[in-house]
Amino acid sequence: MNFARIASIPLRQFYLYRGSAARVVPLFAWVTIDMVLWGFMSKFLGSLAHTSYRFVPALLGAVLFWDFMTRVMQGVTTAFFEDVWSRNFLNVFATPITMPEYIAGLLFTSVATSLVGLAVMIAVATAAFGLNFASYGAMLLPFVLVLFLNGMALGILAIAIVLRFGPAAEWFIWPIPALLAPFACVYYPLSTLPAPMQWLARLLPPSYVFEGMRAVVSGHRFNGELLAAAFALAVAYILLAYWIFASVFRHAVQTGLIARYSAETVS
Amino acid sequence: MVLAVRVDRQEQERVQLAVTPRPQRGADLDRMVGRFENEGLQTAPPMRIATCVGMAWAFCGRPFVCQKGLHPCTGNPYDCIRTPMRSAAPTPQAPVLRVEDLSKHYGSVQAVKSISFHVCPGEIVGLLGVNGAGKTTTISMILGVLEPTAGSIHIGSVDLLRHRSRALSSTNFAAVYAPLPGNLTVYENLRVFALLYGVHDFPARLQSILDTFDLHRFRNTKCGLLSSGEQTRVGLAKAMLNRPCVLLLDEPTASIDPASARDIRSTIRSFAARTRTGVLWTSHNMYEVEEVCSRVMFLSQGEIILEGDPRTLPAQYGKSTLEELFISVAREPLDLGALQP
Repeated sequence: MNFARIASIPLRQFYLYRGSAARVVPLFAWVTIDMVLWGFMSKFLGSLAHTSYRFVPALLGAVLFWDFMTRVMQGVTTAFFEDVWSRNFLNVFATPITMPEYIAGLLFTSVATSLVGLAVMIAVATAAFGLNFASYGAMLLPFVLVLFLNGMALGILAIAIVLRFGPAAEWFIWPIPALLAPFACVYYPLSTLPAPMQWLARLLPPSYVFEGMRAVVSGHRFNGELLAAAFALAVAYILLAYWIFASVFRHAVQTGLIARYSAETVS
Repeated sequence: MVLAVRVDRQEQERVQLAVTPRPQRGADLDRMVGRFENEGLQTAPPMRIATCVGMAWAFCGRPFVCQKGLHPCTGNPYDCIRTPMRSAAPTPQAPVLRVEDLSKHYGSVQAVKSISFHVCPGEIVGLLGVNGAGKTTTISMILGVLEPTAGSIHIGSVDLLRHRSRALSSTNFAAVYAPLPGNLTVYENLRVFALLYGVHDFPARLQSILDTFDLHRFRNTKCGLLSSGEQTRVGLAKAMLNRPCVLLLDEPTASIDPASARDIRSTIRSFAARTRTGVLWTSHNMYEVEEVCSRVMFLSQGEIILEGDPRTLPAQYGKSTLEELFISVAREPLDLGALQP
């Protein structure tokens, strides 16, 4: 691994963000809107229900963490799309950079951009709606870590899809979080889903995180073994996503896709 | 430490020093001296580079530039000290690019059929052919972005297919279909590619490359706002940023005006001569090829069917110009018998 080559990827993104308000604003604008919307929704539901269930940490917290995972995924994909949009593949892949270095560069970019979003969400949720992260206790960091790893795996899988099917496949990528949300049990318990959907949900690491969050907020104990299983699943998905990307990249080098990558040639 | 000096007394412009990477002693020193003598270098007692520069100056009466370290392409412990050369005639040295039995098949379509060629240090070789002849496929394989079906590619002594990253650190390219991202400034693009190619002395290199291509005033301009000619110059600046051993130029002067094209040709020629970079150049402009290339190869249906000096080749085949020869080859590529000298 050559760190200078890895650094070139986040540096390029930094240059792009530095000179473009259109790139900077989405880093925090949409997550702020989400926090405001779900913050009021949580308060309203809290006022209706005659239980001690705490909607703000359970619902607003879940939305915050789900948005964080989405940002991690989009951090990887957007950095990759910049090379697609500027037709820069040939320039980049004709350099000595290796594929693991390129992926590492995308992941570092994602860390930086998603942390900006997370910081803004925490500030809004805490200041405006009194979300107290202490209510998640010691489980907070493992929750964040599992979502972070899962976001990375989704990001790598997404760029493999776009590399394989061409720039137009970008439209498959943006809705991925929305497609997964029903199975990830962000807003409701796993038991709400019908049995076949529960099987699918158990394959998704975020479902364990959100189950755990609700259990902790309700004052129940969450099984650490389930969280370990979620962590193991997330790591396995990263490895699987990397293997898929490596296979797609190898195919692209064998067929000349890299050399002639554009919407027209691929379609 | 300098062990040997060779001066071309006829040209009095090329001086080579054999330099060891570190002070050598005993058997190592003897082995090194023997190696230099075998290569026809006059050996001298070990001396410091500064002393030797003075000696070279005394020989030729002009200052020299010293590049320290191993020869970037061959890995030999040579340094070159020289002023710009008038003659681009290459000395017999190991090729910087060696392509052997290279083939590329797309299913049943054979895009490139077992071609072999080499490019020597400082040599500019033209790769000619009609659209679809296999030029860009060949260049893509040398750039490591397209896997050959068979054959081998060596950059210096490094096998591209086995050591892709190491081999590509000694190459670079410019092509009209691969402009640099238009949403970054000239400086930002060059900074990013300097990291990718491992250019260590970036500030000094940036100054030098901006001087060479007259790009100082565009340093902070986004590449997308530049004219075609200016973008071509930025692309070439990127291509020369890492002082490559092998430079691949796919129609570098396409879509720019004749005056700018002439300047660019001149810059590339002097760069190749000064740095001993081997250049593989594709173009459809036969005037340009004749002016720039010391050797050309005609590619037709994936095969090299003619090779030679672009100034003498047309006459050998009964044609008055290279363009006429090109048209003949393009129209009747399989009827070369009719073209035999």
